[in-house]
Amino acid sequence: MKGYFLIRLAGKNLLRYKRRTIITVTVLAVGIAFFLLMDSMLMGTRRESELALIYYEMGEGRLVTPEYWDDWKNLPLADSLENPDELAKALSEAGIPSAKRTEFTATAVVRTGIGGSFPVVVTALDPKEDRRVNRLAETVRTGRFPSEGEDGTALGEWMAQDMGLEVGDAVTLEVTDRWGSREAVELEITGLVNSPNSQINRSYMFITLDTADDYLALEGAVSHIQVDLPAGRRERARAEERIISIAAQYGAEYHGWRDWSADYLAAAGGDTYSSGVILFLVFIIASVGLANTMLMSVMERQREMGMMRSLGMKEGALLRLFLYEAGLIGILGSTGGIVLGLLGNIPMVNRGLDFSFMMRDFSVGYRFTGIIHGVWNGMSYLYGLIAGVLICLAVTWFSLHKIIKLPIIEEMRA
Amino acid sequence: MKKALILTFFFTLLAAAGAITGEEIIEKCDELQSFDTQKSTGTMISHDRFGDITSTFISWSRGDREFLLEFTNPEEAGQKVLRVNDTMYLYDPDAEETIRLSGSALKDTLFGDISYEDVSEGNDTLDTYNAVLDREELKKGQNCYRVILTAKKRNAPYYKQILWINRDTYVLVFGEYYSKRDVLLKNIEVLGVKEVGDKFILSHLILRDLVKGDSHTEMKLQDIELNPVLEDRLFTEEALF
Repeated sequence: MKGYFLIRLAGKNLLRYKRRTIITVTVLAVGIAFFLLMDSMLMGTRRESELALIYYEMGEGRLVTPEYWDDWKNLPLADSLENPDELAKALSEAGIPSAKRTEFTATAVVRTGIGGSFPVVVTALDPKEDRRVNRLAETVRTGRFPSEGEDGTALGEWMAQDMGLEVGDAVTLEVTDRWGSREAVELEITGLVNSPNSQINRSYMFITLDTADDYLALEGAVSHIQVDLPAGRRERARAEERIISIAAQYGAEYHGWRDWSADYLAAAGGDTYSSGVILFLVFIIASVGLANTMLMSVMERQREMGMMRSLGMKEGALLRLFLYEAGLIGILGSTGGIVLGLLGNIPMVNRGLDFSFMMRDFSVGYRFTGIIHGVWNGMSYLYGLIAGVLICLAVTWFSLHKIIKLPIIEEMRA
Repeated sequence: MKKALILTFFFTLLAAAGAITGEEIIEKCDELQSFDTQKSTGTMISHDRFGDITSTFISWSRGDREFLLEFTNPEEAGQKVLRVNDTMYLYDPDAEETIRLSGSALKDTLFGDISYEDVSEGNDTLDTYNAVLDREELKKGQNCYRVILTAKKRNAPYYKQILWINRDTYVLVFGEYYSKRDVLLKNIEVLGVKEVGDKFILSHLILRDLVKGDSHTEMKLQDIELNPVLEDRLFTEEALF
């Protein structure tokens, strides 16, 4: 029997069982659309978080001493970069924007608000210089960054809220200087930072480089130099080569943001696996719904099968007929799902979904503060189309391959 | 008149020759606290605005550089802190792994206001500080030498210490710890001393973190055994498991 005839017959059959066709196509379309939206949201979460990590926390990369890199998780001030100005000048001459920073841990002691002490990460920077590589300076929502020479601090807004602190309140930092000697630093809160990076809002404090230099006995040293890279893959690679070469001349090492965020990326990698499982479950649920309607369709049409076989239709042709029907349903359902997914993804990409109500108090390692923007991922749409068709074919084949081998008389009695 | 002046000068020289120096006081103080090996049991009580937390422990030490502490109270039973030279290891039986601490991590809190560094401090004060006898005065009802220690090494945990040391026993009575900017960071008050053999062991003391202000930590040693025989294996990372 010719394929063209079978395809036409399959199309007619679909029109004959309109209600069933519509239900099956809708189930598949909703499943595919749900998969696409989930995929967009999960990919958007990762992208949003990575950008927040680069723009507000890590920069594109950092230059440090080899000794610092070996122990960087402890933020070892003892292994700071000496003469960072010379290195920064060399980077500037090579057209690489850079900013000096010093990061250290401290215990913050507050006597106003709820009072008490808590561990914090303190970043010392020069706000003017930092704008070259980081967007943090734009995120001071209340007050201002401390000025040069001022014993002040800007701190994460969420942390301030948790501690009941406001601009004008005092915070004492218990610190250990570069050489291991203890010091206490009395600071006035000059501003509150509310950035798109949840980690910054939750546990970071910012002071000026000269305050850090003074209290931590740094004598001009800084823990690292943060750099920015140009857009474009080739340009970035070239810039990184230049940075590595310059760093080597000054006894420093360059590490891109991925090196610094290995723990985060490992966790995100685990989440990618979990996301895959979620998407797989979405498919399973859609497949079960689809299998149910397809199985019903095959069972209900057993007599029809028996009759067609008694009229001389071969088993292979009958199997192909049903597979063509399934394929058409798959194409219609997947296309419908893609259209639904596209339409649903437009507001997700443009406006995003607001999860801030739960992100404020819920730390999962991701750096975004709550609004997740979806992304466009062409491959997911292609996978959705292919998978939709394949699922329909597989489910039909499983439903049909036993029934079709039954004696004709038994099929007619069904 | 000339004769009187000569006599005065002579007696001043004699007095100066016989006067004790700050360094000698600290040396004696350290000496009283020094022993080859020690084993003790004790209690640490942290008092803050949320209430009291009590931990009990057994500790072993050998010289200045080897120290092992094991918590024995049910909540922390089996947790151990080992110091070998400048490296410290923490062991948590629940996690079944050791964490190696070095550098600034040693300043972290072990218990209440006591840092890891505080419990494992050696008796080599004069290696790190210059000691000057400031004056003699009454402190906590005891006749004391008031000795001012100033850091001679940049890595000294405190830039300045003022110690009140009992004039007769050379045992620490009270201490104040200052930062380079002269901020009073901590103080220590000794409430009890046990005499074991020819040594005086600080057996009951209170440590106050004056920056935090609202807390203090009390440490009591109950059973103190000096110079017990300790196996070499005790001060190794493997012995933590």
